[in-house]
Amino acid sequence: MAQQQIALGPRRAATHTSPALRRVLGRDWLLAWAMVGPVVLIVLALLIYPFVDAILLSFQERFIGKEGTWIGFANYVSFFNGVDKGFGKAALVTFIFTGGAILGKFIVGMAMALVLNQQVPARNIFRGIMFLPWAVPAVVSAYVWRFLFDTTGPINGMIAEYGLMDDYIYFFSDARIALPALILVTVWSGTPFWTMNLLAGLAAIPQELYEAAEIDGATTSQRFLYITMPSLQSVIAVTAMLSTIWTSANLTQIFVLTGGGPNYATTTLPLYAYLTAIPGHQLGAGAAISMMVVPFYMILVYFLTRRMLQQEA
Amino acid sequence: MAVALRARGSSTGGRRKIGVGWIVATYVLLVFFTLWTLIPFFWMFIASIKTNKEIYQDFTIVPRQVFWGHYYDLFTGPYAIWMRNSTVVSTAATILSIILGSFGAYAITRLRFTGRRVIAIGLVFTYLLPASLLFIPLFQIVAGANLSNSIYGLMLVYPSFTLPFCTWMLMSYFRNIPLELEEAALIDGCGRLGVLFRIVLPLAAPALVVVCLFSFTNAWNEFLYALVFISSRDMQTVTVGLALMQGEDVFYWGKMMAGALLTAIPPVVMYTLAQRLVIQGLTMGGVKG
Repeated sequence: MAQQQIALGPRRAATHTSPALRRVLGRDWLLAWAMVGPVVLIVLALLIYPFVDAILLSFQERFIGKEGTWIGFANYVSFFNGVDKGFGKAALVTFIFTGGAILGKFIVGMAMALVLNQQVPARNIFRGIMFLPWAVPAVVSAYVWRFLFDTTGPINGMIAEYGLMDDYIYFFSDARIALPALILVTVWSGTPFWTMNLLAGLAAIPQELYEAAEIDGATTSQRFLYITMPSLQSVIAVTAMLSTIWTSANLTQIFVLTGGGPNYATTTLPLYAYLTAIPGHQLGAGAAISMMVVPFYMILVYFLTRRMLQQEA
Repeated sequence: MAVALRARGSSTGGRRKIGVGWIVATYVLLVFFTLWTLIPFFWMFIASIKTNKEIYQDFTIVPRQVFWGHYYDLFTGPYAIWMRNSTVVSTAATILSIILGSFGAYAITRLRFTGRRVIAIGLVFTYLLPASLLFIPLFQIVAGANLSNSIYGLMLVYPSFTLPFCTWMLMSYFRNIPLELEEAALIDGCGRLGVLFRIVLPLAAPALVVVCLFSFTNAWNEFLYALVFISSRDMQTVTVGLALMQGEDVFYWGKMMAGALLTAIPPVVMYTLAQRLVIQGLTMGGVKG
């Protein structure tokens, strides 16, 4: 980044400060902090302070509208000694939900990207269409699928109308179907993000590699396995990490589609934290649930921050 | 999303000649994926113009008559207020974020000061921090400021995700504006702010538009904070208002699909507009792919 600095020109902002101070704070420190100060203040006030506050809250028993009592690790201990029965299940559901959704988005996104990367007429129109679910609010996509899956909705409507099955499919009251159905909806709305990133990755692969492979007699699947996949490795890694953070943290679609039911079969940790903290009024316990996922986020965010800053430099 | 924005612009690749078999296979898959994408939209629209009888009793795919009553019903309720609340909150958060973000991004990319790298890292970090980790303490802050159940509470909180996003996006755009232009202006006696307002911001205009559109869309689509901070239905934003419409025992699918469709329109329009501008901005700025 250093070579991008401007070495010339008047330096009015810095003329009043002593050379020593300038050396410590940087040449343009006064103007720079005046410009970046509001951003830093807002980030501190709205993200860093609440984050620290959430940590402190997680060590308290605190009900909405009441003073908190310091209880140390009691909230956390309750997750492991069986007092809080929902936590283990929510953790498992989060794992299955996130894993299933990421895998689905990767497979469908890869297929879409490969198809959209073909040189065929009108592919930009197809791209525009296939990216659409990404622009739609999560509530809307969840709502539409809720309708599609409803007993009065089109899928069951067709089953009844054309006699495809003996009974309706009760997508959201059957615990075995609810989670897969939820994953399907998440895949539908999350795939475009993968497709976009994979398309960008495909475009960056030098065509010479494919030409050389073709001359050497490589088959299509060989070219995919030995050129495409290795070249996409870093795109896939970054996309998977971003997608894991956002998929596991998103509770909008679950809230709308199942509300976490039936019998907590679709309650992920963020939803469980919400249910505990807001309708359940236990802010401290809710904060502790949120905090349990922080170590995992930290690992992902650490690698992502490094990668993203590398890309920008 | 930083990665995503750039991906939109790419149109190279796949230059090799392909055989007829591959073309057929490609189109079969294109049609399949198009259907997979569009069928939910199709049903959303169809349900919104069907009569209740055709939704609940006589199953039809294409309605026998077009019925606009669900849209009428929607606007006899609080839907228009939700729309207005969403518009106000999203606009306010976007304006604040784009102004502060422009200054911040310029300082980080072009000025030399200690702490710059830490701030850049902090921005990525906060951009990635999901709302579900912060809504509980933010709920306390908003309640403590006596702003719960008011859109002012949301205006206070929405910059927590729009500002890091705007700053981060603008940083990568500003970096790609040629330094020589700024150097020339500085030699001619133009101050730093002059450079920002007369050279950088005009050159980054397409980027500013794109970032505004995405910031607005992000705020419009937001759900969790509005759900937690606003308890009265009449004060809600459109996403949460819509979600809570299903609270009743009966599902008024026609009305709900009409509401869903209208809620999706602003972000979809913006996305369509932005898609073209992103490509334009990419070719102008020569952003790395």
